[in-house]
Amino acid sequence: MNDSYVEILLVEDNPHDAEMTIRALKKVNLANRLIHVKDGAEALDFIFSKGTFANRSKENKPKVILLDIKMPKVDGIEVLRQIKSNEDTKTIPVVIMTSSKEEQDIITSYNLGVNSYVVKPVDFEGFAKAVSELGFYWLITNQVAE
Amino acid sequence: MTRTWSNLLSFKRLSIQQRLPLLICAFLLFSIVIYGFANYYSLRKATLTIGKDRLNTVTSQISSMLGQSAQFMVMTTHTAATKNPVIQCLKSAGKEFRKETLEELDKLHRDSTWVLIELLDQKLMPVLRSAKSTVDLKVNTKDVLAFTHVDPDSSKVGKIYSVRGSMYYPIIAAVTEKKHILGYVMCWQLLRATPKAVDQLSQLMGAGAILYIGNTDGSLWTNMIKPVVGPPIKVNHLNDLTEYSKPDGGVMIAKAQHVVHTDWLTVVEFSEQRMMEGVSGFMNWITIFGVVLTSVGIFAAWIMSRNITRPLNQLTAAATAISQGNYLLPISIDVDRNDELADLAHAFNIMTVNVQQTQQELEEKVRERTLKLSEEIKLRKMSEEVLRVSRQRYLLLVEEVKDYSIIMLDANGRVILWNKGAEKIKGYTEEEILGKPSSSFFTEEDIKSNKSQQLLEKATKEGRAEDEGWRVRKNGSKFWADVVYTAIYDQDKKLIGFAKITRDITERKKLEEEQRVISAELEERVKEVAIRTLQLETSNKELEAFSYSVSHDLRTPLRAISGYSIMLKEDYEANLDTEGNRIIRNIITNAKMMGKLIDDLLSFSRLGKKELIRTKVDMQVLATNVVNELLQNELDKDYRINIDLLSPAEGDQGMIKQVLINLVSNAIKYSSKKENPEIEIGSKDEQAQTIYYVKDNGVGFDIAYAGKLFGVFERLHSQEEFEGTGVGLALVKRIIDKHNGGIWAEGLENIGATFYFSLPKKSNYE
Repeated sequence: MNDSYVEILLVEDNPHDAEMTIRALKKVNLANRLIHVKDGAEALDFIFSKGTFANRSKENKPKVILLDIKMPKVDGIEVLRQIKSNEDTKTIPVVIMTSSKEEQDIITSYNLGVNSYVVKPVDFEGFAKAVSELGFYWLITNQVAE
Repeated sequence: MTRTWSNLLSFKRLSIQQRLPLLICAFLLFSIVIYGFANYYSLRKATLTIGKDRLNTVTSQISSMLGQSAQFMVMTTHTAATKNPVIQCLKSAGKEFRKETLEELDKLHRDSTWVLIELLDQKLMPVLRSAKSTVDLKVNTKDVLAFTHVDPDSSKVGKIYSVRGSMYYPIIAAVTEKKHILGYVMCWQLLRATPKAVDQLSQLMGAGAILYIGNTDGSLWTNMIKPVVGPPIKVNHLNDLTEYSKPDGGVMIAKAQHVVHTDWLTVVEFSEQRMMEGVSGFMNWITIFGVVLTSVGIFAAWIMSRNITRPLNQLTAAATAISQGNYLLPISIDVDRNDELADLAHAFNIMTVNVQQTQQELEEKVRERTLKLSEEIKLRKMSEEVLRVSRQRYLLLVEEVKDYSIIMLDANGRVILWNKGAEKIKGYTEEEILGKPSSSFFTEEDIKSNKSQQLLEKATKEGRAEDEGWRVRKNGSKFWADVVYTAIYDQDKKLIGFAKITRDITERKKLEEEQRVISAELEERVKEVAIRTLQLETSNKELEAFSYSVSHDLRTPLRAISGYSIMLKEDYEANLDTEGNRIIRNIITNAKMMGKLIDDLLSFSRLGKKELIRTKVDMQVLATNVVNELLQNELDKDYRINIDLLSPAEGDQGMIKQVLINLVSNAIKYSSKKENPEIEIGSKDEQAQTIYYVKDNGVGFDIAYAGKLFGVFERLHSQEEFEGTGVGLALVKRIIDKHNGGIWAEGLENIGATFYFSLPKKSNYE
């Protein structure tokens, strides 16, 4: 996929969750400009144009970032911290996706300035609905704001 | 002479406070007078010089101004006199050129002031006359020319003549041919200035200046309006200034100057008084300034001298008081300044304090001494009596004390005095023990180690010795004693014996011993509890980690199962037969079920960690909200839910809402298969608690299994009958337990169930 113009950046280590998320977004035609990275380190490389993404132009900021919390190496909280503490990237809407309602995770991400969060229910239909609605919402609002 | 001396003496008698302002006043007055007069005279001189200079300038300016205008008139007349018709007319003795000549003469009437123009012959007889007015000038022409000498080929302005109150002057031009005078053209002009013009001129010259114009022979003076009495000018000394007094007393300075082309003089007269106005003004200011300065000076001097003399007066008063022997008054002088007087006052204050102190000390010593002496006498008398009485009392007291053994030992440690307490504690009578050594009450071991002797030695050396230990009674039984030895000396510091006080503290000793054992046990227990707490904390943390792990890791694969089953159903539904589709549906349902189980279990375990936040809870509102929320999902069935008046509760709003949600949703669920499901929510007030209940007419339960209702994962119905995880009621029980309340249920199969829970009232939950 051409990564020069990306609307949705999906950061998810679990391939099954990622597949389901992409499927849900596809259903509402939102997966055309989606890129999926497999952990926090890769996500940071993409966002800040480092490592394998060193050639990517920084100007093409994703419209929305869907971020899993629990990931190996660099976790979602750390990725969120770096996005929100950088002047260039702090305006990108970030939606945290978490497996549980563990309060600590939610409080931490809200303190770091997350824009929204979604609890991944076991019920796939509910999850798909939540993800597509959130993705849609952030894409729309972001376009209007620009 | 005598009077002056007495005045001087009286000045010396004045106080400093009076003298200083007087001196300063005199000095100021003297300075101001000298300064004022010196300035006045130099100013006056300067003003006079300036005035005279100005007088000179003004006079010469006015004179030259008049001269210029005279020159103009003279030139005009002279031009007319040189005209050919005029010459020819005269030569022909007025017979020829009369008309032309008259025309020339008429031209000279420049304005109404040129009143008469005549052409005269050599004998001064008029030949022609041009008159613009009817004025009749009866001036003798011969007199005019006798005084004013007109050379051939020239012209001149003559003297001023007064005719019936008006003033006229002639301008005479000689009509000449070959240096020979044929006759004269004589123009008479009216001298008339308006008072306004004169006033303007006077202002131009300077305030108070008066301009006079007069004839050089002094025959007429005018102020240009009318003839006036002229100034007393000496015509021969025109260059000098003239000073003279007016009849009204004013001193005037005047300057006269000849006006060219005329026989006139101009005189400008300045009033010296007007000139000196500035100087007088200055003098007035100096006087006012002097008066003000002197007053301020006197006032300042008065303040200053008062400031100096006040502390001096205080000092004098204080010194007088001390000199009269009044030492004890609190004399001190205010020192709120920083000069020599302050130093003096300060030194005086210190001296006063010293004198006071010395005086007081002296008096105190005398008083003390007197008191001591009288008391000593009294004491000596009393002491003998007191000694006698107290000895008697003391002996009585010691003998009668029963709880303390009080005994006296001689210097060698033998008993010489024995009280009732000693008899009670140790068992010996007085007769039995007197003369025996004090070691009689010690244990075998103490006797061997010579403890008795050691204690006596210690008391001898230090005056006192204390001991706590076992002692032996007469009957051989032991008691725990608290003993104090006190050495007694006579007046020469020689040891005469010991007082020995013993207390039986066996009971206390026993109690202490027991307490020590209990404390040790308690400490042991506290340690155990601490270890247990630590273990609990560890396991609590492990549990938290476990629940986090369950919530994340257990749900993830489950989500995958659920997700892929749905994908399978969505994408391959058509390719599978009925059985295949049924299996997929079951997988999906079970995955959902397990997800719900995990969620319930998690909230159940999370509840354990949560702190209660007690507030007042409006149960009526809460129950209504819960019922409304739950009924939104049950639109296909008509439930009759009756909420009685509910008493308010004290507790955690969120948790109690959870209780209501679980109980009411259970009631809805288990009555859903009835035709007319009815639910009732109510409360009963008791003294210490409030009981709430939720009653339904659903499937009920077998009372035999009532104990299983509130266990985790315990269910009395199958999943097919009613869905559920078996966590809901366990959660309710856990919440009620946390509130120190109770929960129980009544039920009959197929009739219905009632779930009760009680919450303690505010004063009872702690």
